[in-house]
Formats: sequence, C-alpha cells, structure tokens
Amino acid sequence: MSGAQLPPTAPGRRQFAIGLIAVMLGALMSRAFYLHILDQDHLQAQGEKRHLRTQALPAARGIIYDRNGEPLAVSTRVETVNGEPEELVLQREQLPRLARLVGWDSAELTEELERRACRKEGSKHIFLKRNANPTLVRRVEALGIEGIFTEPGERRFYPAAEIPANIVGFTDLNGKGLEGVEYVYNQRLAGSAGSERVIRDNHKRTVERVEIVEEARNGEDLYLSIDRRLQYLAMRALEKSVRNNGARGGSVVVLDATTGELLALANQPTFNPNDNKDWIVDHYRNRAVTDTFEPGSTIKPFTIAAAIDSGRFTEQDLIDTTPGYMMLAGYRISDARNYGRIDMATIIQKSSNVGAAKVAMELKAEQLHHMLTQVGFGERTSSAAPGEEYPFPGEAKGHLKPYREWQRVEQATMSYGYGFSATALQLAKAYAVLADHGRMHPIRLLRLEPGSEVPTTQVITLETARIVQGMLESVVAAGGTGTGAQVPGYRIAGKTGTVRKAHDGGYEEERYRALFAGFAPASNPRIVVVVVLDEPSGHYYYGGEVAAPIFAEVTAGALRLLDIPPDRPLELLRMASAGGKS
Amino acid sequence: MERLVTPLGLGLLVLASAMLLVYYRYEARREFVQLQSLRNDAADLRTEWSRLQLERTTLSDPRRIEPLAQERLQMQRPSGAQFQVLKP
Repeated sequence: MSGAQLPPTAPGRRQFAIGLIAVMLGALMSRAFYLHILDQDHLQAQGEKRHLRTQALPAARGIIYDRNGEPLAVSTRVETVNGEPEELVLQREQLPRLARLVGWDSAELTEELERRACRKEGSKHIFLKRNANPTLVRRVEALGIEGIFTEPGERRFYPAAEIPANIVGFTDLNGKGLEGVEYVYNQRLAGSAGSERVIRDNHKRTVERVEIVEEARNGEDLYLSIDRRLQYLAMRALEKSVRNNGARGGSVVVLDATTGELLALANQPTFNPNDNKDWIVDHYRNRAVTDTFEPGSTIKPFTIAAAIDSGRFTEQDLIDTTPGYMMLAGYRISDARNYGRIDMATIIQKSSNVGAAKVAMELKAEQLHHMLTQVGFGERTSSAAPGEEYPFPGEAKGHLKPYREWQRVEQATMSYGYGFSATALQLAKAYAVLADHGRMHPIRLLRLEPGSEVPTTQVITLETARIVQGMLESVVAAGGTGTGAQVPGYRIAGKTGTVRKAHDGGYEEERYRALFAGFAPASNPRIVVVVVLDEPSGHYYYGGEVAAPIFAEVTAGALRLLDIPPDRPLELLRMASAGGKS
Repeated sequence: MERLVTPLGLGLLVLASAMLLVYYRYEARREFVQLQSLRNDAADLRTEWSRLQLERTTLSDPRRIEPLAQERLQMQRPSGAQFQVLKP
C-alpha cells in the first residue's frame, strides 16, 4: 500500500471528519474550563480527601539492660491525641465525655475549642493528650467523634529511676539521647526510621497504605556491665552515709577485678530521669568520672610498688621516719605521730607520709611517674573502637605533670597523693591492677560475652603485686587504719585516704575528702570497690572512719550477691562457736 | 482452519495472562493488607511486652522486695554464726 495513490473518496467526507474532531475538542475544552474555573471547589475537595504522601515509619528505640537482663531503660509506644476545633465544636453533646477521657475540665475544653475555632491564622489544631497509652486511645476512638486524629510516638521509661541514672542518662522529648549511655550509644539505640507511602484524608487519617518504601530498622538492645542489684546496694549505702555524715556528695565504684567491667557506679546527689520537673543540671554529672581530686594516701601502694619494682628497695628495708616529720625545701611533711624505723608494710599500714616521701626521694622521678601512668592516671579509663564514642561522656583525665617538670618537693608529695589529680573511676582502675596481679585492663561499660578474651597488659610484676596485696591486707587487719572495712569471712585488702580539699592554690583546713579503695577476697581478688565521700561535715571525717564502713557494706553485699565463697571460713566457724546458742 | 489456530491460541494466552494479572494484583493487595495488620499486631505486642517488662521490673525492684522480705516474711540476712561452709 505504501507509496500508492490514495483511492478517490466521496467529497465532503474529509470535511466531516475534521468537523467531528473539532466538536469533540471543543467539548473537552469546555469541560476542562468548567472543572478548573467554574467548579474548582468540587475537585479541590475531592483532592483533599486523599493525598498520596510519604510518611515516616518510626523505629523502636533499643532497650538498655543490665548484665542480667533487667531492663534499665524501656521505650513504650504512646500516642498523641489531637483535635480539629472546627469540627469538635459542632458535636457539643460529645464534649463532656471526651473531656473526661483526656483529663480536661469540660467547660475549659469547650471554651478552648471555641477560641481556636475562631482563630484566623496559624494552626488551629489542639493537643488533647500527649503520651496517651493505647487503651485510652481506643476508648477515645470508640466515642466516634469526628475531628479527632492520633499520632504515634514513643516514651522512654527508666524503671530503676535514680539508681543507675548517672550511667544510663536520659533522652529528650524526641527520643534523642542527651546524657550517659543514651547519649554515647544513641546511634545504635535509635536504629533508623523507614518510610511508607500512604493515602491520607484531610483529617490526616491514613485511609490506605500503598507501599513500604523503606523498612524501619529497630534500634539495637544494649547489655551494660552494670548489675542492678549491686547498683542498688552501692546507692543505698552511699546515700545513707552521705546523709548521716552531712557530706556534700560522694561516689562508689565497683569493678570486676578480672575483666575491668564496671559492675556499679553510684553518685550522690543524683536525679530521677522519669520526672523532669526537679532536674538540677549539677546533679546530671557522673561525678565518679567527671570530678577529679587529689587521691592522697590511696596512692602510697603504687609508690611502694614502684620502689620494689625498681629493685632499689625490698619489702624488708627499714625507713627511719623519726621524728615523725621532715622538712623539704621549706615544706613540712608530717605523720600523725612518730613511727620510728619502719618497714615498707608498716608505711602502708600506718599510712606514713614521711616514709612514703623518703622512699620516693630515693627513686628517679621517671620511675614514679612511669608507675602512675602505667596504672592509668592522667589517661582515659576506657578504650573505644574507631568511630565509637568513649563510654563516659565528659570524662576527666585528671592532671599528672610530666616528670621532667617535677620539682624535688613535688616528687615527695606525689608519693602520698598530693600534686596530681584523678577521678574515682581512675582510682578503681589502678586498684584493679593491684587486685589482678599487676595486670591492667581498660574499663568496660558493656557486658563482655561469656568466654571472651580480655586483653591485658602486665604493668606491675606479679611478685610485686603479691607483696603489695599483703601490705594492703595489713591495713584492714588489727592495727591498721582501715579496720572499718572488715567483712566477716573474707580477707579484705585496701587503703584509706583523707585528703584536704585544694582551694585557690592552697588547702582548706576544715574541708576533707574521705577515701577508701580496696578489693576482695584478698586470696583471689574478684571485685574492686572505691568509695569517695565529699566533705563529711560531722564529727568523723577520716577515710577509715566514714569511707571504710561504706566499703564494708557494699563489699559484703556484693560478695554475697555474686556467690563468691568466703576465703576465711574459719572466722565464720569461730563466730558460730562463740555464739553457739543462736 | 490452520490459519486460525495461531491467532486464536495467542488470543487465549493474552486472555489468560490478563486474568492472571488481575488475580495477582488482587493477591498482592490482599497480602499487603495482611502484612499491615500483622505489622500492627507486632507493634501492639511489642508495646504490651515492654509494658509487662516495666511492670515486672517495678515489682522486682530491690526497693520494694527488701522491705517486703523483712517485714511481711520476717526474713533476715544470715549472720556469721548461721553460715555453713561446705568444701566441694
């Protein structure tokens, strides 16, 4: 057919066809004109009834558990009930029932709705109830009122409230972590929201779900190394002691000596994350990691360890501390009394400043500095994988001067813990080195999977660690400064400290920090406990008087809860025969 | 006769495929709706589960258990004399 002459056609047929097309085109145009210009309301109304839109599919935030699977932070789904005032005011007879359900005064609700319905500009819609639980929402929907719509959301609950608050932290109203674990692991906890395409009506109600564009990925659950029971125990003991001693605050840190896992960390004062009315910014601070102080006598074991490790001293060497004080560059270093010629163990047991200083003066500054940095002073307590945050927000590293800048008198004061600063967590980490036979491990806040290898570094020789462990046992034994830390049935090792608080370049006379750091059971240490009490204002303020009893209470409870057998069962038997009747 | 077989056969295939298309469209919609409802169920169950977890945690809170054990059940911590140490 192609290229062939067109067959002759009847005249007028072409004109007819063109005319027909023109008429149809005209009809279509006039219809379009009618719909777009004359009757636009109709289409607009139809359009508003269904928008195709993409909306977010919320991801559930992960749960934070303690090491035994007890939840410390849980998100539950809640819904916000919203209303369209213009429609609600038309259903006046329903309003009292609605008001009762959402907890409004009936008259107040009507008034508010009328005020908003008349509003000329801006959004008219009203939040009737935020964070409503699903049951309430079903009941509101059952009223069958027009002009009510709900929006899904999440609310975070902290069942253990203030007990682990300083570690767990909290989120803002949009569910973003602001403090503690919630902040550090926000990405992992949050997951990622997906999106779906839905058709919605003009009441923002979803009429139909069309497709899922991207699946929501729920947040990861986290298992902390914290043990809720120990956390409670530490918090209760600390709170009681802070109250009884009129202290300004305090901290208790409990570590697993063999893995570096943080089992409990309690601070006073603290806050309740479920109740945001009485939050005081100062109370959010996790003072066991953000506040530094001079560690005082609790450092002496490391001075002695450095001395023995250097080969310069043995444990039998005698140091003459007569007459109970010494002058160094115009600076007076003194003991509570004159202890005379004493060995290394007695320096620790009686906490002799003169003894520690004399030992330190015989060492090279470098040796003492090396020991202090090896056990973790002046550094972060934990390590983090690349791209990951460190587990403790706002952690202070403390201050430890490079040894080249030390003056002679500083080398002496360092030996008994003045002239540098540390956090309670750093002190606990350092004691974990002594407890775990000279091995250092980074602090962990996430639970270790059972059977996993813990990387350690030997920083004090095994032999020296054993010797110092024995000295620390003598502190808690009769004649030592830390007898208040004894726990029946167990061998306890530890060291007291009572530190004058530094202030404006000097030291305050009447303000102290009472410390106790130790571990148990001494035969095979499993836990390390550090207690810091800030400014006990009562009659007692020595570490051995106020901090040691907290240590004893926490340690006794922790050993029991962790099923650690007594390593001095004979003591229990003696007690049994002494009180045979009971 | 033979000239008709091919177009007729093709026509039937087109018809069959059209019916199948309708069927699977319908099936897809039905399953999507089912998926949605299961998804809602899952969300409800998750909500319920977290509520129950909260409840259990509240009930097992040491601050609640300790006074209950001491006052209602008259329990007390064993003192030294009440310990028995068994050698394995």
